[in-house]
Amino acid sequence: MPMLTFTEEILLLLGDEEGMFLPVEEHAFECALAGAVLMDLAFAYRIDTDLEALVTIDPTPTGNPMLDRVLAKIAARAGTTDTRTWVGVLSREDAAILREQALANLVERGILEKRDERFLWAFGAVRYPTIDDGAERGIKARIEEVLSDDIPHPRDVALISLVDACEILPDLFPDRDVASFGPRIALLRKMDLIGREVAGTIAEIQRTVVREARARAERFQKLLLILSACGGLAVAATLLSPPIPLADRFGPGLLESLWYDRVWKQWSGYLLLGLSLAGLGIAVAVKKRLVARIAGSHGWRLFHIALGIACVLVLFAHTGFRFGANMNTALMGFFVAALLSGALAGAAIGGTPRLRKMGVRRTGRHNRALIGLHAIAICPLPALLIVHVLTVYLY
Amino acid sequence: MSPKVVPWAVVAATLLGAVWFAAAMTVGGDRSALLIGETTDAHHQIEIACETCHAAPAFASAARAEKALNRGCRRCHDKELKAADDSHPRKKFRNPRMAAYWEKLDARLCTSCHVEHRPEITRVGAVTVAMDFCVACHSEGDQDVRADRPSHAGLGFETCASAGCHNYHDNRALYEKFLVRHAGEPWLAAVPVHEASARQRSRKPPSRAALARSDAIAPEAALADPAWLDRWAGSGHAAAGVNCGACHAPKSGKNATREKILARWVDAPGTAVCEDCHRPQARTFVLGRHGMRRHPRVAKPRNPLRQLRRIGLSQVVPDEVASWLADAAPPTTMTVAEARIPMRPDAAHRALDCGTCHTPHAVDTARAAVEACASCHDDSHTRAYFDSPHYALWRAELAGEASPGTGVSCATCHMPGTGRRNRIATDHNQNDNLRPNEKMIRPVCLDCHGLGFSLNALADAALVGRNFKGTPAVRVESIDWAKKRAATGKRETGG
Amino acid sequence: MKRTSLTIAALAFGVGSALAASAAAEGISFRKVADMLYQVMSADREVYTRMVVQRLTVDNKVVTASEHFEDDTALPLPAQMFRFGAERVMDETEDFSYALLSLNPINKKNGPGTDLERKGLQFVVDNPGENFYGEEELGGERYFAAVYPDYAVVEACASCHNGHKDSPRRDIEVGDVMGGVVIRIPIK
Repeated sequence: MPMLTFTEEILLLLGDEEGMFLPVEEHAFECALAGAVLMDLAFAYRIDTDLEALVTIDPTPTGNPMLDRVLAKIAARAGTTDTRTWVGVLSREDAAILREQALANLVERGILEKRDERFLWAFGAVRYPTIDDGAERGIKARIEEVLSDDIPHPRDVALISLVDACEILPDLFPDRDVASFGPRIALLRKMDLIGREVAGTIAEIQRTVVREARARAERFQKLLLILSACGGLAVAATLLSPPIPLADRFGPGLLESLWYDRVWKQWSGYLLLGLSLAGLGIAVAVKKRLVARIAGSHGWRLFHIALGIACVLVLFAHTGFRFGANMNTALMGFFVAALLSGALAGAAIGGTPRLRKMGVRRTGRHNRALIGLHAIAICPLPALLIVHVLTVYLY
Repeated sequence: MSPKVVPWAVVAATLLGAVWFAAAMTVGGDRSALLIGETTDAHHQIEIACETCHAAPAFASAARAEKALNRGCRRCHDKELKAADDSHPRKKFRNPRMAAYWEKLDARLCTSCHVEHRPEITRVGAVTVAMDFCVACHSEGDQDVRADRPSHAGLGFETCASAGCHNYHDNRALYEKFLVRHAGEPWLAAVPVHEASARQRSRKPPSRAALARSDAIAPEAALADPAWLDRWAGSGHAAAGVNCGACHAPKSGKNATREKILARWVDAPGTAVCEDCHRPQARTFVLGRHGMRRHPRVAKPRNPLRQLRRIGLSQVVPDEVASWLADAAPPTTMTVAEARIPMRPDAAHRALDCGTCHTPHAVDTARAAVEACASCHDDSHTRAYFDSPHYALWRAELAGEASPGTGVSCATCHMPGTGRRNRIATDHNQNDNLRPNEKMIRPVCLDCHGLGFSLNALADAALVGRNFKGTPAVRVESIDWAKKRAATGKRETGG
Repeated sequence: MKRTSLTIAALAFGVGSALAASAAAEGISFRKVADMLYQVMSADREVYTRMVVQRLTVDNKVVTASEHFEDDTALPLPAQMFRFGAERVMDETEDFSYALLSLNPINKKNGPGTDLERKGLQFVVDNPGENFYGEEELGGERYFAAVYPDYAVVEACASCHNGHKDSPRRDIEVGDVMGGVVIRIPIK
């Protein structure tokens, strides 16, 4: 049996104990997969990099369909783009396929097992629990050896660089002081251990992946955190602030029109419905990976959060954050719960690096729990909305 | 529990809920959970009979729904508005020449100012617009009151209705000429007697019909309790010749034989037997808050079979299911616990029908006029009554120390006698002259008090709370202003 | 007394409705319908003013006429009588509407409210014996409108208007145009 590719190894390391293989920091995850597949091709002497471009030096298939597909793609546009662009392109366009293929390989090898636990459209996931943890332990052992004083193998150095780029060292070694690895990793990066033929290429890929992942992570996470925090604060502020008094003067004020004029109410209501449906559509599309090929899922996720913020504003226009009575209270309660849990999940995901720095572990699990809460709060909304709209037209 | 169960359960529960509510809306069943906001006082008694007001067909246009809603208002309130000589009647604003006013405040629609289920903007009198609403039409052009009346120049529009000077609907005791005519009246009349009460209380039933203890026709078991018999023999019923059978065997007919009465005897007859004779009282009782659940205009429960036919599902849904969806029978009486004003906790369970205030057999109207009220009502005004000059007068009248009509009971003001000459009946619509309290001036206050004093007293909320023990601390200037204006004019009639 | 006023109002309403309805059916011009409505109104108005109010209040002095006729046990004023009829019509139909208006009203709400009313009321003052016809849009609907002169037919009209504290004009003589009757029919 041939040895595991980089792509498979890094994927194994990125998986969690539940076999989700969907780390929350997908930007890093996707870059890592892109980098890994490029490294696989470099170690197989199929590609090389120079200052301007990443070029194919040997278009012969490697025999591994996963690598060959990417090789063909690069060969088709050889010489026209640099490493950074390719990491970007592959991470955006191919990460999902690479993940599927690598996972399929690992299942075939008897390392993982596939369990489809999807239900109710938006819930659950396909999990890949480990049935043979020998491979993963082997990789971890190799990394640990290299991080202590052993003479490293070039592949291991490359792997460590990728792991470091993905910032998953603390998760791999929860008992160790990861900060202390810093100097050693820096040293490993400088060591000229890799065969001359691929040294430049691997180093270039490493640098690119680290840079790209970090840049993307920072940009995405910062935006996510800011937007989510804005949404959360908007909900919290309007919920906690005392009721806004209406002017005790006769005449159509803006707030009176918003909250008590039938026409305005209808507009704001349908706008809210439209925004909510758009948000739901985006979430499902991202989950089903329908939109990833269009603009990358991160942009869509940010857009999802932005829609959430728009929902908060329109909801305020529609209700003044008054909870009404009975059915309306239930509708409002679930809607606000959906907005708040969504904002919290967004903030938690965006704030993951900060949380990790603060020593919080297993952030992925917490984040998924928040997203689950978000989804559960949304479940009753269609039914409640139908009843709400019906009451308007029947009474 | 597997985490999978939670979303499934939530989705299933809400779908079931949605189906249930859709059925409740279109076929039948409890709809209280669909109420979008607290219903205003009094209307809350009939809030489950949605069709009373929401009479438009499903998916009617907004304009049509609004029209139907307003027709609902008028069906119940039109008569009282007419009686109040409504200052802003709908007919006045339907003329197209008033179109400019429709934009400002559409007075053709009750719902322009009174919107239901909006507790957060509902003000006094179930008004849902800011209380300075007069500004809409009376602040510019020919209708600018400040330009027309120098005395009004510096007044804010929020004071029009709150200072005891004007009401939107009922100005029977507030219009200029009335003020002028009653200017300078002393605070208390030389002979302070409430006319209608005096006539009612001095009324004697014809003695030739009077029945005694021995005349009672009832089963042995019923006659066994002497207390019942005594109470009846001392009551107005016995004095007016109303024997046991009139109420306990209503189906035996007039002048029935003893056998027939005993054969058709009912131990606990309903209030229908009361209504049979006391028609004006029964008619007005359902108009007030005490009896409005029996108002004939309150929508009847929906027939689920008919509703199913209407939406074309009568073939699909089996009759058993349909009957299971039927509306609950609406309560016909109001319980004390449902009241939204302070009530005695020990009376919470009591339901309001004739017998609540008028004990069967004794039918003591004096008790019904004071003690019956205080056995449920527990607000400051009620509690203060027993320490008030009005109550002292009432005690004096009951003790025979003062002539009929000089005492002031709760009913004297809140359920005054109405009608002409000898056909006076107690108005059982307690709401008739309740709010705005200036409505009380003509039928009640003015019989004993001067208009100026009455206006001041009613405008002094603290004094009302003390049940008029003390003197008004508020001075309503409207009489002075009206006098001043009348003095500057020449004559006051015109063509 | 109230019954009399209601009977007259009901009569006017009945005739008016029938006229408006037949106009639609037969294709009679709006002007013609308005003229006919006015004939009924003006006849009733003059009869009440002359044969009830003038005779009983001024000539025989057995009763007074008062704005607060119920409280004062008096006759409704002729202007009120006319308004009650107009309001009763408004209670029943929107096929036509009418009002008694003046450039010098005692009650300001009976002054001209639209441009057409202002023009029409001025026209009937300036052109004795002539009526004013026009069209206008109110509340989003188009109306045919006619303005007819309203005269002080008897002494009671002039004396009351000259003596009322809120009257802006105190020099009215019998035969003067005091205001006008405005009749509107929606053009559908």
